[in-house]
Amino acid sequence: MYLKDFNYLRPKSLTEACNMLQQHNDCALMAGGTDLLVEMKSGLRYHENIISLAGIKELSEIEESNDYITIGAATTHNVIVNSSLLKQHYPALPEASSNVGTAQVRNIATIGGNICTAASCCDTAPVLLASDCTLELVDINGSREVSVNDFFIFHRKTTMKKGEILTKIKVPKLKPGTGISIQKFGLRNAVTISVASAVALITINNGICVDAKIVIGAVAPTPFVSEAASKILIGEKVQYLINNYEVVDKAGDLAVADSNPLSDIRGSADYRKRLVKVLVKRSIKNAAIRATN
Amino acid sequence: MKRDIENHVTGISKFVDDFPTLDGTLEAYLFYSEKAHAEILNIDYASALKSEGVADILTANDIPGENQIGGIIKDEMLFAEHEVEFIGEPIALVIADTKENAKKASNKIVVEYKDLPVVTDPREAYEKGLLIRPPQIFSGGDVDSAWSGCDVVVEGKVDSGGQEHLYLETQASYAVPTDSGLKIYSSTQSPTVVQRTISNVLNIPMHRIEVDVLRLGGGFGGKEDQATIWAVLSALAAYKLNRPVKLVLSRMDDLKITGKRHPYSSDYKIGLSKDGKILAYEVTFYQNAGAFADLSTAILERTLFHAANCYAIPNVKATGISCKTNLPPNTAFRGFGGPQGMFVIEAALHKAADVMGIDVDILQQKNLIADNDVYFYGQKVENAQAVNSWQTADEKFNLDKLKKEVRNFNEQNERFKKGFAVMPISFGISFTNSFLNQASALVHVYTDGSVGVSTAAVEMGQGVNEKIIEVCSRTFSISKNRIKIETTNTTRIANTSPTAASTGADLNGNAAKIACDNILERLKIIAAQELNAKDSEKLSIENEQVYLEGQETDLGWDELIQAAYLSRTNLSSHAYYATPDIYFDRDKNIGSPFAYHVYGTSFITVTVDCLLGIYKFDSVKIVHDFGKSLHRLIDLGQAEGALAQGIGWMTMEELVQSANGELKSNTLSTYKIPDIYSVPDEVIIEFLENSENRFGPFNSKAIGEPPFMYGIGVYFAILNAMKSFDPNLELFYNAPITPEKVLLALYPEVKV
Amino acid sequence: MGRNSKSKGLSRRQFITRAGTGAVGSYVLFPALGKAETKNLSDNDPQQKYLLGDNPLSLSVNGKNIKTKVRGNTTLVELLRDHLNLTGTKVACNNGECGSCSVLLDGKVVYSCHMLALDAQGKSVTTVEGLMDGNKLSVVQQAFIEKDGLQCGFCTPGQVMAATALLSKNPHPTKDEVKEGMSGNFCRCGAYPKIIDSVLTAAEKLNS
Repeated sequence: MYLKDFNYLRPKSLTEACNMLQQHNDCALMAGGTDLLVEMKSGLRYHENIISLAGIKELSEIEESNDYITIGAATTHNVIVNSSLLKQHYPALPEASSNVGTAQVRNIATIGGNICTAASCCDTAPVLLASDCTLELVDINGSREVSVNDFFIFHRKTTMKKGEILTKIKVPKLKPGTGISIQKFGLRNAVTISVASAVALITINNGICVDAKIVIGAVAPTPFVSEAASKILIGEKVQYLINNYEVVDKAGDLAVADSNPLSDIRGSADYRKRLVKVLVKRSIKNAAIRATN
Repeated sequence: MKRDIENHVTGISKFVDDFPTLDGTLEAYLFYSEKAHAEILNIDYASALKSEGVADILTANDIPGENQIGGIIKDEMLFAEHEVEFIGEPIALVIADTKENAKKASNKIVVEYKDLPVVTDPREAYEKGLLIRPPQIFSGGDVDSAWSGCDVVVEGKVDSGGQEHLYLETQASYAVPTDSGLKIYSSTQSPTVVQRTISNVLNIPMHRIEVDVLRLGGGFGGKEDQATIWAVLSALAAYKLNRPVKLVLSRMDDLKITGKRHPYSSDYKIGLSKDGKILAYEVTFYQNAGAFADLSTAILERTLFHAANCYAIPNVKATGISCKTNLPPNTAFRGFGGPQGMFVIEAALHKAADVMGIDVDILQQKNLIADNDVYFYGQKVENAQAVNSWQTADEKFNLDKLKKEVRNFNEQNERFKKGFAVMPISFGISFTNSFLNQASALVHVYTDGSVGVSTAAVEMGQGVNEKIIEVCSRTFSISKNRIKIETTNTTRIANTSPTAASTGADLNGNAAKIACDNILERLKIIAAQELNAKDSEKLSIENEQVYLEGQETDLGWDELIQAAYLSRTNLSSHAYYATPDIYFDRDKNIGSPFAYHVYGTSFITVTVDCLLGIYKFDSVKIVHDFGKSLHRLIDLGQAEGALAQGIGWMTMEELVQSANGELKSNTLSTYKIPDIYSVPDEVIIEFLENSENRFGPFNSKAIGEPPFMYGIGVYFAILNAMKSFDPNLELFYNAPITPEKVLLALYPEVKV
Repeated sequence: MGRNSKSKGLSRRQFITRAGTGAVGSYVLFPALGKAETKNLSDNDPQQKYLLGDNPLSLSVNGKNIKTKVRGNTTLVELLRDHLNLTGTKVACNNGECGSCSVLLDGKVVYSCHMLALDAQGKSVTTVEGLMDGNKLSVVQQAFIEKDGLQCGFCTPGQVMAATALLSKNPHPTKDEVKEGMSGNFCRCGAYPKIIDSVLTAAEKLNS
């Protein structure tokens, strides 16, 4: 548990940070550092240069435009939890951020860090996948936007290229008649790492489900949208979803069929699959209830 | 006088790693085996020795005395030489200017191993004949001929897992060379064991080694025997290099290297009459001792002593087998084997009740031990409070009503089910090795009227210092602010017994009381002279004022002490206490090893979410036998804390080892200790009244370990909730009962 | 085994260099009171040199301005304990999981073992040593004493800091909010019921 020494770089602007990424070969970006430091202390990872984003103000702002809320990537979970803009326009994200670690972690850890670490058990990724948000990536040559659906490749792997920095997360405002529910299962209430989680987004029009998205976390190499489970809900009466009709059970089975959990210290694959079914069913019911309110 | 608690909340309290270090202090890092069982073919230290900041690397060849640290059985070397038998077994000690450099250098040591077969399961070890010592049998009555008279006979297997101590202060020691030897600041429960072991390893007499203990950041048994090695290692380095040497373990190393509560696998057979009397009980315990004896044999013995918990059973045969495996040597942990034994008899009763189709509490209550019964190993029962505490709990909390509430809830709920259990306890107080039941105290009254007290007790959060202050304050009848408890130090108090077995306040409190009484007698003579009273017997001190025949005089504590000093009166006393009337015959395994027993009864309600397998602890209601509590707030805290650890052991604390002996649950996120959410929604602890105890200071009783066992009831409460969800549930006794086990057991046939 | 004489025998905490071994004992019995004296650390001091790195750092600790140079890998808790001798903050897991190292950073509670000292640049740090007002205990400290919200005391500074942060954000917490706010701090002694009691009592006192 010793942190090997490294070169600490502290850019004051995004441009300076991009330049540093270009100049130094072996380097890593650090926002809150809560994940990176664990890996570096345990010797799983080492970089000669650590570029701290702590000095870049522009990365931690939350702004509103017509259709989006734009969140700076270095915004801490604590700020997200307390953001009135987000509470109004996409309350699932503050809820997801409140599930991250403990008060101490939420005061330091950032949403960008959470996404870029891309752990399969990441707390915020499922609600972002449900939202269809867009991520802004910047490098020395300029910026590009990528859909969150194309971002995660594997456990701890994303489509980010060398030299790129995640700067913004553009979350579409929630449409009227839409409800989201997050179901996280960890083995303890405090400091818990997700064993399995499910997010359902349900949009209702005239008592019929017109849009649905079922996202599952911690039971595959990345959090993912279960297309099969999502599709089967569209066109169903909202009352069926609320009252746990057969279609909900079926959606649960389809989500389980889509998942591919590992057995690890936090739970066996068998156990996780059982949890997924319960969590998916519960999230559909709660999201449908919220959508009708 | 600032009390410990004030220093704790202000950050003034120092633990070993906080002590200001002396100039020239070196840091030590242990290089240990990464193999659970292997032959050492070759070790190359060359590049490590050249590493930055390295002062020396010590191995078995550097030991002036004996390469041996085993206490009860001499089977554990300080440094391995040719073979390693667990991951974490010491091979060499790297000493450098900084911790970082010591660690870096140790990474450069290269060992060539030849793998040998690894055994981690105690039953497998038993089959292969790998034992710490031959099996031990305790028996009473005649089990073999009793079975035929039983109406119901049930057999089964019970497993309980290990438990990591996770004292928040990791193992730590700081050794400083002195003119004549060494002074060791150690985070140990056993200063004399540290002193004796260092003496043996360094081959210097004990009087040249001073061990000083200020306080521990938690011990729980984990620093009874296993703090010694770190003290010995730092002492060896300080002695060889003539420099102060500090050794503090990182959390990850502490988790990986140090021993834990023993996992047990047990077979039981229980026989009852049809009206629910237990007639016979036979049990075999396979204890997973780890690679070396440590305290395993003593712990196994306590398992045998508590095999029948608080039940009177005429025919008992309990066999204990200590099995040698390739895990770190397991060690003392709150309860010291007692909980493992009690879990098995409770499981046996639970299973028997299920077979008989009745509630288990009916069997429990029917068999409670009472005065004039005999504990099966021969101790006559005196002042039993088993029935009293059960009945008091029933009066206060209404057993039938609680059971009915659970039934009603379960009738109305599909997904959530409640479960209920009663957990009665009886726990013997005294070290079962009778010779350890001794203590001494040194009390000084200074000329300003302040008092300094030294005893053998080590403060580790159990509040023993505060209790000894209470004893001295009551004995002298002076303000607690006048009394200071000194560090536990082997030059002031020699031949200390470990602060363990819940006996700290009993043994040391009694010794301190005798010392205070000695001084008080002398003071009364002075007071009689001062007041021209004829008979010092008619004098007393109350609230720092001398009373003559019940009348307050103008002679106060300060003047009295001054007068005593000026008239050349000894204001110090060294006093000794040994628990009377205890013995145990180890040839026949019969005797009366305990000064007394602590009793109590708890009612436990839980709710299980039968779709997810998770559960919450609704309420734990306890009537506990504190004797006449010395300090109610401390005693309540001890009971609450012990309960939390007991619940942790039974539910969430799961040690995971791979087949090659490697610990997988090696962080706080993968080994789950109770957090603030694990506290039951409602904890009520009532003091059992009218319990007397001539062995405890001011009639108090020991508190450290007994309430741990209330946690065992949580297992059965969860099982009962599961049973009401699925009446065909296959009962299983395999602690901890994690949410995963619950869910998989509730849906055994479902394939997903 | 051969000795390597490269070691220079540098003290971890250069403030306390006393001749003679007895001094250690006297420090144990009479620990330094309250806020430790902090000062500007300079690389002119040979014994401090090892700890110092090339990266300039200025921050405020318990109201005192500190200017120093640290290495990149120095964590905030190492800066506090090893450079500034503020040993009230404890290290129990060194992995951001247990809460013993909790301090306030610009008023918010953080794990000091799990952040780089350099990331505290320009910020204000409060440790348990900085809670007292002169010789007066803070309300939270007082409540922990009154309700016996601790046993061995090792996790206590972290608990007190977490409680202080919780109450500054939410002066009227419910029992559930206390659990949530304190859930990042383990107590192996299991003093949780009395910790909850202490925090609720502190809240009451602060509000009256």
